[in-house]
Amino acid sequence: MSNAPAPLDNMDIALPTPRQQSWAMAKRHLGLQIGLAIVLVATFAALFAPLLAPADPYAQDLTARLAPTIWQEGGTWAHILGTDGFGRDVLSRLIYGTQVTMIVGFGAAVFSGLIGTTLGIIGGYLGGRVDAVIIFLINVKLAMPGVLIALSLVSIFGGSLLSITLILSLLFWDRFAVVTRTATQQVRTREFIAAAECSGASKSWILLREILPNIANQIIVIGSLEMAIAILVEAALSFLGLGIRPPMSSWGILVSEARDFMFYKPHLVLIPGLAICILVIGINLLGDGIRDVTEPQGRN
Amino acid sequence: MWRYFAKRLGIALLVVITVSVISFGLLRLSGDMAQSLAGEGATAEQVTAIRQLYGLDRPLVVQYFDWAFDAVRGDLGQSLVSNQPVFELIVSRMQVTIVLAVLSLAAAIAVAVPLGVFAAVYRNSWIDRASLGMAVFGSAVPNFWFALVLIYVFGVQLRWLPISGSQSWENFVLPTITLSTMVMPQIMRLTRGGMIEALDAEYVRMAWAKGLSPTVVFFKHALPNAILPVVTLSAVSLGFLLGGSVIVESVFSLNGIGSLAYESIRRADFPVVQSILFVLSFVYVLLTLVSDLINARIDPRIRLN
Repeated sequence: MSNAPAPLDNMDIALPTPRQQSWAMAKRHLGLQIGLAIVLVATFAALFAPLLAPADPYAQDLTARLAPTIWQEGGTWAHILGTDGFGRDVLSRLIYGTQVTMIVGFGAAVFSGLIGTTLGIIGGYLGGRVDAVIIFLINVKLAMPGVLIALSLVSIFGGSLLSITLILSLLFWDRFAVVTRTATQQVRTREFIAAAECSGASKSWILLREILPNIANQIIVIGSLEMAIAILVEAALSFLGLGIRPPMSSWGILVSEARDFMFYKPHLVLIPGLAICILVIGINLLGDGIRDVTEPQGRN
Repeated sequence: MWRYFAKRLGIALLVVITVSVISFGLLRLSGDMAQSLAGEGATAEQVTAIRQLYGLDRPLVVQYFDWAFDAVRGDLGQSLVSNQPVFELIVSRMQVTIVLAVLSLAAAIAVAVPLGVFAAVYRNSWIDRASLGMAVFGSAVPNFWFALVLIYVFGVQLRWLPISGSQSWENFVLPTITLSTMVMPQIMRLTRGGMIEALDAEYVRMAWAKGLSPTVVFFKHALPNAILPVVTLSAVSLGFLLGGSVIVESVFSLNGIGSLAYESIRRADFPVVQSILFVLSFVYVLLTLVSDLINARIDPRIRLN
């Protein structure tokens, strides 16, 4: 008898809650862990740049111009990644550049998320004319050449951290709007929304307390994507000389300044570019990982 | 079909008008046009005279309609720097950019669609992982940096290809590679996703059951269904590439519309900037309109909804 299966109604096995399932998946998800590690390192570098940087990123030393890196011949521990054309320590400039990258990337993702999500859930929930206007706005936004608009706006409003963050936010809200609109349309038909409507909940309550939590994971995934894109565009603007202004350190500026020495000091171009690549891959891995973990059926 | 066509055309027209208002507004945001026309040391009287000469003292709405009616007739005003008609400037620079964008899109499709098909057919195999890895890298690499790396490797170290100018086809190889990486990952992912969905569909199981060869099943039954969204994405990508080539053009010293825009922004030549923004948006709207109509023609579900 001991081998007989237990009757179903007596089953006492606690099924793991969604939170436990996600947590268990996260512990096995290598991409998520690598992405998280990269993003944490970059955040740490940005927050504690003054403590981590071995030298003043703005201090010029014309006697020590273009010093080699530690793995090249003649490299010293004083300048692990060597120095640039003005004798400034490359590692310190790289670490300080993380600040610009993270502030602009995170700021643009948050602001564009606010704009896009607001439009998306309103359009998706209300439908009808409001929705038509919002779709129209998305179409207008899509029709405009983003990088060129960003360049023109920066040339008008200047290249401060705040203006660049806001300009990029104005350019990247459309994907948030598209995704949250569709997601809201799907959630809207569910029973708990009908229940809330029947019990007399206000529209803002339904949007903020019923719909928003149910599409939060999709917002986070788009947020990671937009953060990565904003970082790439900020670097490109700074590279073109229409972004963060020198001597401030942005990874795009590092590449742009290193261009003059590219033919005999290629590492000066390679290092900041690789830093951008690694951080963007990290953010994308983290976003994909969050999607996989929070929505198991969304895999493949 | 005609109903759908009329509705779609109406929306496209509205989008174009809205974009023209926005790009016109951008020009006015840039500061006092009369002041910049008059130059640095101009007196107040000279500025006023120029303001009246160019009609800048009239209400903004009047100025907008004035500009819009001229634009419809192909007159986009004059460059503040060279005094050349903007329309001629844009036309003379458009060719390089169109060649570059079309080549890049063609290269991206030629690589991404077969990769996407193979990745879907051999799901979770090394080829699937490799193409996903390439897509991850492709969407993470900053294109200005990738351009410099290509210049260093193929132009300086190996000396295979020229690194700037637009004299021969060889000048377009590196810019095309750089620009195509901007759209390749998306096309690959969309093809792969569409193929996976198609391969699981009933009609593909039916095709297998009929005993058709894998080539016929993959390319005649699954791919045409998977490729529909890719057609739309290609139209969107072409519009994106036309407007997104500014960085690549500036790194490779190509005299296209992107570098014209960049120069004009740096010199505050806002009539040119405004017109480029408008023309590029117009082309984008036109491209998406055409692709939507093609899709509606192919897929009755779209036009009847």
